[in-house]
Amino acid sequence: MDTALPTSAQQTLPAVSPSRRPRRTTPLRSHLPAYLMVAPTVILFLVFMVFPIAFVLYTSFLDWNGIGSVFDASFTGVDNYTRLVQDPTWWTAVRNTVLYAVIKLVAELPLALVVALTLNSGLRGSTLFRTIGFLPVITSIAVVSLAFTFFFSPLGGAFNDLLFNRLGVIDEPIAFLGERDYAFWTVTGVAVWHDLGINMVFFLAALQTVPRDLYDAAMVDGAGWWEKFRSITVPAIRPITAVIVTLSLAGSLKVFDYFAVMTGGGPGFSTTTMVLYMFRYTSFGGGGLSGAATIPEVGYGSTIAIGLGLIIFAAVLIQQAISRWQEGR
Amino acid sequence: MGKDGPRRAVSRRDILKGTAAGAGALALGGAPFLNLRYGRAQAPKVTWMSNQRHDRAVKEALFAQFKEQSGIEVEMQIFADEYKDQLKLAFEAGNAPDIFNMNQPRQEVEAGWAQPLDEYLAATPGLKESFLPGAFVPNRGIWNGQTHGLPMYAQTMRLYYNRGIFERAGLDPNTPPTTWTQMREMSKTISDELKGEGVYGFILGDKFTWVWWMNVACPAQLAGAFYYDWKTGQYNFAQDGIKQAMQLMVDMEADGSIFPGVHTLTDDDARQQFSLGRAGMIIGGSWNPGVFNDQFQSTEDWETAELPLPDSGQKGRVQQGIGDRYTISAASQNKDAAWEVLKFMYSQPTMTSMFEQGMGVMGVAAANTGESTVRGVPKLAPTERDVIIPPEPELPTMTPDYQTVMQTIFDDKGSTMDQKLTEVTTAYNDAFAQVVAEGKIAQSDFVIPEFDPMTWQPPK
Amino acid sequence: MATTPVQAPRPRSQSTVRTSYVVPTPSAAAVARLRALRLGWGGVRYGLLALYMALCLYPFLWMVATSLRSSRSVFSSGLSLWVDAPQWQNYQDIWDAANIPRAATNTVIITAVCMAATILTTSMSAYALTRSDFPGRKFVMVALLTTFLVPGEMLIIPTFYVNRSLNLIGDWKSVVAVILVMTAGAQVFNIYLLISHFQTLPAELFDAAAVDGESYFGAYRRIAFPLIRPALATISLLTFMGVWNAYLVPLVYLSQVPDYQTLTIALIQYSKQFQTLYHVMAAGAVVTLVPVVLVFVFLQRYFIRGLTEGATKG
Repeated sequence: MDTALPTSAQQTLPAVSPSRRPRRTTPLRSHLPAYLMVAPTVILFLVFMVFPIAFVLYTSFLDWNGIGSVFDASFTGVDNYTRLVQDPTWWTAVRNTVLYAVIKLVAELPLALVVALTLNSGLRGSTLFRTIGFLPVITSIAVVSLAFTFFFSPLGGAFNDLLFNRLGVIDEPIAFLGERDYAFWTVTGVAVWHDLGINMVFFLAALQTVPRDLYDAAMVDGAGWWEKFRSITVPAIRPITAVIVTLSLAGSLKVFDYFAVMTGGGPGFSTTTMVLYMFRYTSFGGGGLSGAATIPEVGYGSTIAIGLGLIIFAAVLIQQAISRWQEGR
Repeated sequence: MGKDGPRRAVSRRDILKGTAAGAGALALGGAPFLNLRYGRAQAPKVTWMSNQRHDRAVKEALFAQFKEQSGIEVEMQIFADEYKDQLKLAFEAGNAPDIFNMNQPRQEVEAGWAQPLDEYLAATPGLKESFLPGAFVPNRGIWNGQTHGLPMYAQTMRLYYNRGIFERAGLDPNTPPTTWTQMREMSKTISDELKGEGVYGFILGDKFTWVWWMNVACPAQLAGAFYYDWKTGQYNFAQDGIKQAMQLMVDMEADGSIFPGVHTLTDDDARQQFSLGRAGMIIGGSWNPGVFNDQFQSTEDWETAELPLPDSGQKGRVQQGIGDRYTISAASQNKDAAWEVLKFMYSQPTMTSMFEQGMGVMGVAAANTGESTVRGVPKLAPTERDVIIPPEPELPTMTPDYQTVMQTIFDDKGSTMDQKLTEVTTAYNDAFAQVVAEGKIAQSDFVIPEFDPMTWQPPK
Repeated sequence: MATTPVQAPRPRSQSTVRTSYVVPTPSAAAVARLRALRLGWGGVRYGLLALYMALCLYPFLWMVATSLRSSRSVFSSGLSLWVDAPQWQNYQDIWDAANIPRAATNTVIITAVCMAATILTTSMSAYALTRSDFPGRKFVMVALLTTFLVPGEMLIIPTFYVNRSLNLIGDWKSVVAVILVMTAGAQVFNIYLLISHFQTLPAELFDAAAVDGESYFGAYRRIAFPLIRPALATISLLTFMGVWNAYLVPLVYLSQVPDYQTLTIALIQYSKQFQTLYHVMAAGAVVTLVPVVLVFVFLQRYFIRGLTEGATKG
């Protein structure tokens, strides 16, 4: 389900290690109030997370059409998984999604940091700037994507008007969302536009925790701007940067809404992401209006879901390992 | 899960009854009030779930008329893309509609959602026979030996052209193209003449790739090339007819005759542009006049024509789809009322009125009179160029599907045509073989040795 | 607007730093050069910021302009933000077609309940997870962390089965289902955010409270909860945005019960019927956008504070 958070903010903050309080050897009963207080969360979790995940895992081993009862579906072992590994379109979707996630990391995060640094350097009007910079984040992705579909249209779309009529840098209007050379980059650009603000705010929050006196001390030592950035700012914001990277990575690998609304995954499969590819089997279906009926394969859709879950899991583990290694250096 | 029975036992109905009883007890002695309630609860109300929205207003009017005649109220629930999910959720939640459009008939029959209609049809003489031939054959209308779903529409494929644009481009508004070359030339003339005004010769919108079925697979059938060959029981996308039809699209694009941004447009977008007078021609099903007239309120002077023929002449006919099967759900509490609704909807007067109001070509043969005052409708009626084909095999969702392959060929400017069409042929035949091996369908059901695209007639 | 942490006065600006230390004995010419550099650098920074802000703002202005165009001019206006003859009718159209008043009421109710439920459940859990080292605590933490990696989209159908089994389908019951599912989805992020805040509260505070006879829950309610208000503001805002803009969950549960639809769903349903009426769509988008913008503008100063005071101290 979508969580009650915008995509990029969907995930957790730092893997904060809870403060180590001295473990008291009290009987279980003395913890009753604590248990009661976590109970609502735990129940919500078991019912709306753990059980559904188990269900998807179970159906990923079935040849299930999604219409009949899941108990009547035949068990096909790892067939779906073998098929997934050999499915070239799945790997296209993986490549698209990973590329998207990497762009978000290397383009969006540094940009967000630069904006945050600028806003944090005592400029007049930074509150106003911060509010405006955050505006894109608070808009619904579904609605924004609809608007951008028209914005990039070759027919009277604003962007082509700029490039073609006003600047004259292109020979004819380009269907930015409809050509395989442009569509992926255009959608990614919209996503960066939409999500930059949340990371900017995260960085801003981090920057404000850097103790002023550190800068003052550096000043006494005659450190330059870059020196201060490298030796004070970077170490100070490293923990939260690791968190921001995790958030961005997991969010990006789950992306689908921008692509679903703006390109539907096409042309070809050039903008199909992992989640969008899952929907091809679980929801949107294939045939459409065109004559022949299709046999739905929701079981395979579940396998895709598990596959993408594993990839996200692996990516986050790797990223955590890297940031731990960096901290250790 | 698996608790459907007991769960359903505590349905809204029971809660309603409970509430009604409670209300009665409160209004102690208020017997008239209680009776009134009871009486109203008994009035049958039939729910009708559909993924068709182009005919909503017409159906609503018909249902209103039906309510006056019979006292049965019909409530429509319409969903678009999410219909499949909504239908499943409705059945899962135990509030299945009384009547629904079977969009996955085989699986829905197997899941026990659909009530077999044999007994009802037997009790209604003449109804079954009134449908087009081929409406009820195994794997299409008959599953597990039982009859399921009455086909509402039997769409024909047509070319729609804008007479006003033809005239402005110096073409004769009374002679739409009759051959593929003419279609290409006329598209080019229109684009060359009117591009400055933002008007192009031809439009298609393939953001959802299925439209390649309309724009290539269907025209190719006039060259005798159906991508599934019943004679051999094999798929073959690499036939000359399909390649030529594909090449026509590639050539028109190279000419600059196709409306820009093909992949950013949905079919709806394309139809809106046509309705606004920004494209000279568009290919589409017989549902289109209703869309142009009602949904997009076109004020353009457009007309319907038959699909142009290949230059080498007609070697086959275009498939006339027969679908949108509405049926009674097995879980319905109002089956008899629902059948009354279906009888009314599929009666010849109703069907004729739907045809004449431009809703499309109807499943009931006599309804397609070809007479209508609505723009574009008369020429929708089936001709000798249309044929109801035998059922095609059902395959799982193919990735890539042949329509997406055609889109890629289009983007490759035709250079990869031979290779890609051969590859997709192999993929489809492999998938077919596998579905047969899994026992999901029988190959023999889909082999007709004597099949001929010009002469084949569906069984009566 | 009141001063916020971002604007906290700086003792010295960076350029002052450079003047005093990088150049130990400045000549008059050097000072002038540096002053020019400083002005130039400031100008560049403002310029770049202004450009970025323009990029952020332009699509909104363009959307507002589009929402006032006619069905013909919408295709010929391009980049321009100028509207010759504003078509207020577009707003009337979407207002009626998508039944905006009803949808807005539904959205407000769902959002408010979700916010309250999220704040309550996550703050209680975070408090307990921070203050007590009860058996199973670690397991809960790991379970929370793991599920945040799972794409919620894949759980839609099984979650629906759960709600069906709970008899939570149909009319207002579907609304309850939406609230439960969205509250469940909002747990992880918020719990972690709140844990980082609770950790900043000194343990002595609770020890003193215990001495005063304050119960475990009482200490949460009367001491801890009020102390983390900025974080709660952050959570409120994030939850508000998430629920207000949510698409998939309301779509699944509410599209069969039109009377209970949210704004986003009403708008998308409408767009499916008339998807190319861009100007009317834009009007709808503006209508859904205005409340979010207002709420953000009012809550934003707490929002940043909430993020700042806890998140980075882990």
